[in-house]
Amino acid sequence: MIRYTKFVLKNGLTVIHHEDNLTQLCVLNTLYNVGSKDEDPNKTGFAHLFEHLMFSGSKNVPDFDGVLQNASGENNAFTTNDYTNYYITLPKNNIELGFWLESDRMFALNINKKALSIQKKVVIEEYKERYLNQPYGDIWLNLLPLVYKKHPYRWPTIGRSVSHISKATLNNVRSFYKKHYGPNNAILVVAGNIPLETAKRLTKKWFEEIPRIKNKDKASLSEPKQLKPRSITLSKNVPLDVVVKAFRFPKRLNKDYYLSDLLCDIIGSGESSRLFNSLVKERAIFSEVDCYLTGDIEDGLLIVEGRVIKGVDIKHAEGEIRNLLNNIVELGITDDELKKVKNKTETVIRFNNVDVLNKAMKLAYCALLGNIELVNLETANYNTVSKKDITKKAGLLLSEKNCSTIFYRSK
Amino acid sequence: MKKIVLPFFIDLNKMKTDRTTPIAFQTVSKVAIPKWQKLVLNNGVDLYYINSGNSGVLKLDIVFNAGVDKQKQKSIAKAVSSMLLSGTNSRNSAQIASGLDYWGAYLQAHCYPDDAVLTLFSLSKNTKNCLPFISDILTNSAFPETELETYKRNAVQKLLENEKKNRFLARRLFYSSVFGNESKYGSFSLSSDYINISRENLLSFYKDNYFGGIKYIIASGNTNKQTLDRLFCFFSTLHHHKTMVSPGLKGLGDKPKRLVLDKPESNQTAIRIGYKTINRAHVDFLGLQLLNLVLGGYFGSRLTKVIREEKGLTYGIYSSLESFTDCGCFSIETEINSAATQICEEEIYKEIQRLRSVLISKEELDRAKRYFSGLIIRSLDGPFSISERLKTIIDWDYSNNYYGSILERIAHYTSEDLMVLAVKYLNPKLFTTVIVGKKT
Repeated sequence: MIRYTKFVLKNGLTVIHHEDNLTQLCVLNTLYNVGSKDEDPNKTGFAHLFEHLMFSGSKNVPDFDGVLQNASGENNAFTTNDYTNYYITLPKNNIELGFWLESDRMFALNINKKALSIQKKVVIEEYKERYLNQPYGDIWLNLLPLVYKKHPYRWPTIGRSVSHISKATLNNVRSFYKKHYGPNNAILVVAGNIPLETAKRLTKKWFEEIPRIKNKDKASLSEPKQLKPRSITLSKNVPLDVVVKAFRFPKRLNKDYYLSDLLCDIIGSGESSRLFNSLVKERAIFSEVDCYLTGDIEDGLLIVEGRVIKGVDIKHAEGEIRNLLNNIVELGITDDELKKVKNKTETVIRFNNVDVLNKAMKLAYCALLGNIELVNLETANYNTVSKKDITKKAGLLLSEKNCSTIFYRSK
Repeated sequence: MKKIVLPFFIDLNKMKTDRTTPIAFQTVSKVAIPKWQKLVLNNGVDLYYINSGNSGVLKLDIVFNAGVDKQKQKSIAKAVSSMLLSGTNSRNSAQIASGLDYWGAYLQAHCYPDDAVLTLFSLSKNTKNCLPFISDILTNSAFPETELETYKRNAVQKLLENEKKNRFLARRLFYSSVFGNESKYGSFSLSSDYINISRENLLSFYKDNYFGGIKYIIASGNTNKQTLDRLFCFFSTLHHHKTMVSPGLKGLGDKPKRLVLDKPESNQTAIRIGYKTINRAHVDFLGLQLLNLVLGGYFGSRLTKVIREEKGLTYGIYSSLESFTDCGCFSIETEINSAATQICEEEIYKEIQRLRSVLISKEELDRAKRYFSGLIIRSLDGPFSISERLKTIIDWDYSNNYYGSILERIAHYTSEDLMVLAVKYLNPKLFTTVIVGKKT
């Protein structure tokens, strides 16, 4: 169990404290409720580009990284569709320095032309490294707009195209900061070897005077229901054919999320899964298969991705996936299968709960979902799922009508 | 033109907290050395353990003398490791996978140049149910022909995909050139190597190096008395394989080369520069680690500052210093805007030259030292991180205070010391350069 205390500062900053005295470290994890889904469709990739700029220094701390390194600290950040997460770890005695740094960039980020111009270049190289200069790197660039027609999940966090990044202006950056980077749009987790009273005192000292931003409540967005199968074929200079199937799956807070996650594991997680046993081992259709949920807050996806064995026809391979899924829908799952994926899930959750940084990130994420206690309810929520729950929903979820397919062919 | 709207309108006089005076910080000179303990099993195997209280989980690292150095034919060590869970005389691969999965356990085999490790992640309440599978795997593995066919087929496919990645090609060219393709550190499998693997070779390697015995075991997490008793009884029944090779330093002096592979279709270029160098056995190693940090070992390093943060030519550039049993390897790697390949290479050499001829400022050196201390502290945080450090301590026969003493030793290095090390160890004349990407 992860114990925590939540309090809210006058300016609306949500703070969660978690004490862990087994570690010599303290963590400050700051989550801003802004992700790529909040971007203008014509200026995509902005939340992530902005994340890079958060390291360019602030009014009173010109060299963010340098100051932190000097105090034996480390930091990093990541951007998702839904939110942007920053973290700092420091030896426990130096934690106030982290408060100074993190609050100062919330208070007055140093937005300047030079930093923007450099970080645009860096992000474009990141774009190339991860999406363009790798076999199959552009799968997401093609898949998302096939699945999502309305929802801003239709572009990846890195952005729809390189040109969106290169066109970003200083004005865009300033208004983005003003709109999203304030205390009432953030969740701060103070975790590690730090007592509650110290956490309270330092949080108030460094964060409470930062003014609120004008922050509209976000409406939950929905993608219209998919009514028939969709597919595209790509032909590129890649060594193997690849099949990707994306099924529309429940939102993170939907009561069916947990059964969906377990169903996903039964289909394709690990060497005892259906996909691996049948299509990699027995029938030699694929050399690798993978099955996972995107896990976003809004309309999510279950992805099945397989590398087709040379000599096997890609359409045949895709048909084999469909047969396998139909088999689950028609014949259901076994008690042992369900028990197995529940046990595996519990192991993963428990291992993740050992590391203080992981715990801090989880607390912040659950707070964003609106219920911090979820952090302690996960295992129980998975355990209440019954075989019947899964078989009842599998048919709808795994229907071809609910699916988008990419046939990625080797030229 | 629209007026620029500033993101904040704050009357600074109203702010109470003084943000302008930098916050004082402490230099960390001591690290709380976590306690680990050791049991000697009846068969002579050392079982090390790190107790983390009631986390409810247990990680078990079972180490074997089954690294690439033990193979007589290419690709065998890796193949045996990859196929350890592929079936025994009493259970097929599906039974092993579903049996372990049923108990929520993850069993992973990894093969390295100098050894191999089988790692179990399990809930501590379920560990006992996983042990029979481990025993079966370590005494009865059968390496069925059909499983071998699957392994070969999939390995060849994976290789085809990797060979489309510039980063992989650069790594392969670099290590096979610096260490030689027959060396355990430079050995990369080709399709033909996979095809040539036979069941007999697998069985013979397995018999000598896995069935032959365990080198040592590290348990981390919830290691209460009951768990330890159980591990003691269980692992005492298996064989012990005494360590034969002790680490040292041998065979330095690779031939520097320049290798360029043209990839007209790619839009980034992978670069790798470096050479075979000293390892932990050498007294200069720690200083070289610090020097490596200054050059390219962290985000505040010179290479990151110049090539990423000043010029925006790459998403990442790093230098690293690896320590193997017989030697070390220093290398710089990046994937770079192809048009800037030459500039990047020049800048790398410029920075190296600067380390060899101009003293590092005290400020820069102090920052690197303090960052280094932070690295050590973070690397000793939590039972699973500690188990990794403990492996180094065991393999190199260090004292328990090894990591604590590093903090003290690091503090003594001066800018002059690092310049001497740079002249000695960062000599461009020794470096092999590999470039894979579009020719410009």
